[in-house]
Amino acid sequence: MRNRKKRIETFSFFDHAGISRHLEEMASKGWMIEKLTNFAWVYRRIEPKKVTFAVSYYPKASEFDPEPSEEQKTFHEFCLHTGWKLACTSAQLQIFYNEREHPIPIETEPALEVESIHASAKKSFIPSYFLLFLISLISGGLFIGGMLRDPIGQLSSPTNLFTGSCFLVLFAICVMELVCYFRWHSQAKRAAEQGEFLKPVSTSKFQKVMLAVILIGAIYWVANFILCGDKFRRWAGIIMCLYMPMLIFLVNATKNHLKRKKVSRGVNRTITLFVDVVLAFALMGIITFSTIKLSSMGFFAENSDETYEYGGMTWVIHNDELPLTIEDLTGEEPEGYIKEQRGEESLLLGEFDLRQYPRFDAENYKDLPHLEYTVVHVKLPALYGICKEQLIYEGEHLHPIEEKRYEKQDASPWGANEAYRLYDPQYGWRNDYLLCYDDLLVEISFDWEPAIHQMQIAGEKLHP
Amino acid sequence: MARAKFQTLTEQMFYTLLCLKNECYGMDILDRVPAMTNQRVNIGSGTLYTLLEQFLEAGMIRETKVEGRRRSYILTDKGREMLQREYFRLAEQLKDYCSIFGKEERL
Repeated sequence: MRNRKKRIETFSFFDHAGISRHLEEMASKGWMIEKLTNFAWVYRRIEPKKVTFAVSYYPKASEFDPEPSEEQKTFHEFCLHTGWKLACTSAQLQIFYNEREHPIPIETEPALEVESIHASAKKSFIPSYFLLFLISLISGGLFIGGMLRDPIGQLSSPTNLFTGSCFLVLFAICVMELVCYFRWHSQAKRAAEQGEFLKPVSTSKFQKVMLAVILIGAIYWVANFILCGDKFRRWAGIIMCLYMPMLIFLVNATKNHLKRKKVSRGVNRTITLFVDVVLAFALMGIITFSTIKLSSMGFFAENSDETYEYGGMTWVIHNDELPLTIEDLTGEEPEGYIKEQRGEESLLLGEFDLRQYPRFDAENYKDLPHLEYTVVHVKLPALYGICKEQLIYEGEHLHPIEEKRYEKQDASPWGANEAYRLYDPQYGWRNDYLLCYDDLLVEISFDWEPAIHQMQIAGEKLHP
Repeated sequence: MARAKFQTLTEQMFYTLLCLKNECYGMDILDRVPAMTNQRVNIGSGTLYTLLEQFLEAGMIRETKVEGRRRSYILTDKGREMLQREYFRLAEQLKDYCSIFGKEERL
């Protein structure tokens, strides 16, 4: 039978009433709070009992203190005098429990309680949440900006989608916490003038939902990278899964080691911050360097990939499976061709760039046909219009000085719902088409003007 | 509007200062106030700790003895003045009550 257990709790810093109530429930189930860490709360097994908990705030304390100061110990003794035993502390948060039936509360003057909480919040909660708010605002803003500029690229990439969602969730949490805090603080101050205590509104459920969103997103992202990605993506996925926990672990280990060595608060804070910055850059440097090194050694090349030399460089002969090939269209089997597929797929969209082109060392390279197309698989119907608009815009504005435009064409040869062909006022019709199927958008470029039967083949192959 | 600090005293401030007319250990105030008020007023340990800190900072009390973590305090002239002002304020309130309701209605 386990005598200790860890739980991830989602209480606001200032939700003293919610924390107390929760700890009372845990004690009644036989679990007494023992320690609050950055990752989880640690409980130890006890005989189930009814005890009263109280959370008090000691503004002068810091999480970098090697041990409670003499003044803080005096405060604990004051509390012990009225039956309040110290359960644990975490920076300014002081958690007490009392086994007496109707104990005198630790805080009996509402104005002083609000002052203590606010003084503590100003030291840790407010600055850290403001910093997180700014980071999430900038990063979330960049994500939304990217989504407006390039919705296909952003929404088809599980990495962009996951990191962007994380920043938006973080932004929502920061706004919620700060708004709730300042609202509570102003109302609690007014209530205190009337001699009344005001309990903070709990954001625990909201935080739990947000955490679940991040967790599900993380599982999907990791699974997508490790299970569906190529060798490079698997490597990147595993490394990124290790990077953040390792960084957090090392920074925490440094802080705790210095605390055990009784190093002063200021020195501990400086060294831990320094280690944090240095490690963040050093670890990223090591990862980047080793990735480049491994890549140059061919570690990420698939075993089946052959290579050839041209122009002093090594080129991979990709032989990816393409839904539509030059062979399908011409009926000939050209040799020495490279078939390459690049792209990403998320729950919302999939975007793949598919190319078939001759090897660079082919004698008549310029005369051989090339085929290039982009397939956008729209899984969420609401995104169809946005994706279509983006493809039209990008096709027309690839070169800003040109005035190309997509003109509607007969879609029946392609078997599509709609078909567009690019028109250049200077050079006339181009062999660039945009085909719209039910859940599929295809942008396809030919080296030649496709015949009707080639359009039919392309339609059948691309959207069977 | 926010109450200006110590312009008026709350009940808990009043009794804490009252206890310190004579030298007294901070912690002992926790027992003295309920005894003095027949359990009507109780001061929380956190509240008392903060009050002593603030009174000290405002020069209303001073430290007289430090024995380990046990510290004793006594009222200063400023503190006494504050207490007296509060007494007069309460007395005025009482007088006003009597002038409205008359002596016979006093509790």
